[in-house]
Amino acid sequence: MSLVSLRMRACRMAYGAAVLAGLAVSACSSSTTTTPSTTTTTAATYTELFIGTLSRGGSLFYSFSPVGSGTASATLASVATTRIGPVQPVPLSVGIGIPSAWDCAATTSVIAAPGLTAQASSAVVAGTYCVRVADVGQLTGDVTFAVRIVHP
Amino acid sequence: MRILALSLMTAGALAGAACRTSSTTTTPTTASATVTTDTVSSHLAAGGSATRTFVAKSAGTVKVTLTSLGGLDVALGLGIGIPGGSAPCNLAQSVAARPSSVPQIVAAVDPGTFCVQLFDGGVLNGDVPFTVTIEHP
Repeated sequence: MSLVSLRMRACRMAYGAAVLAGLAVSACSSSTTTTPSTTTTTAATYTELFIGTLSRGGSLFYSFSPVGSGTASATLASVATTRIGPVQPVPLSVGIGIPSAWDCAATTSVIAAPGLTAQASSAVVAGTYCVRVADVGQLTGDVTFAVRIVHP
Repeated sequence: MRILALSLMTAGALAGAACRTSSTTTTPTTASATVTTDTVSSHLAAGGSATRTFVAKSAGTVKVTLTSLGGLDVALGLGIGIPGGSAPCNLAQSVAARPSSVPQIVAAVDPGTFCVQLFDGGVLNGDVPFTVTIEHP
């Protein structure tokens, strides 16, 4: 076999190898990367304000009615003795439950100081629920409190 | 034949590299929350109060700064809470604040409507101009 024909054969084989490599590359390229996507469904929520005056040793409750299922939350946002002025971080009991006779049978409750994030939350369905606020022995007189209730 | 061997090795390397590249993992990224800064400039009367409401579009941190008080260096009441009812702002917390570039109140909040209140506890003798900035999500 002459040197020329050997070179030609080598070139043909190199071409074949290149084609194979190209096929391999295109085969791997076909495994396209899928970008994760997130679909967020935002359910309608309702906000209610429960404001009242709580006496030493007392409790008060407020009823609300979710129109669907989801999470209801209660935020004890304020406990104050004056309409305008400095506030003291007095803790109260905050609970979520179901109205029962003249009270609210709380199924979830916490003792919380005023804050701006929910302290109590509970899974709810359409129906009637309540938020109960009570003194835990820290009050020395009447206080005005404000609770924000968010529910579906 | 050396040329042929080199070609096959190159082709294999290319194929291998291509496969490694295609198995790259994409990590989902989370967009950072947008922070909005509200600047409130007004006048506060002796014994009075001034309230400003704002909406936090997402949960996050609120920073409230009494930045100026007409050149005075006295402490006024500064609070944050929720609006509603008969009070202009139902305060969750309050501090005695002097003008500063450092936030006097830093509070975690859920999404919703909130209020900031500046009030005089009896140190002012007349109207004073003030500026309060509120950084919120």
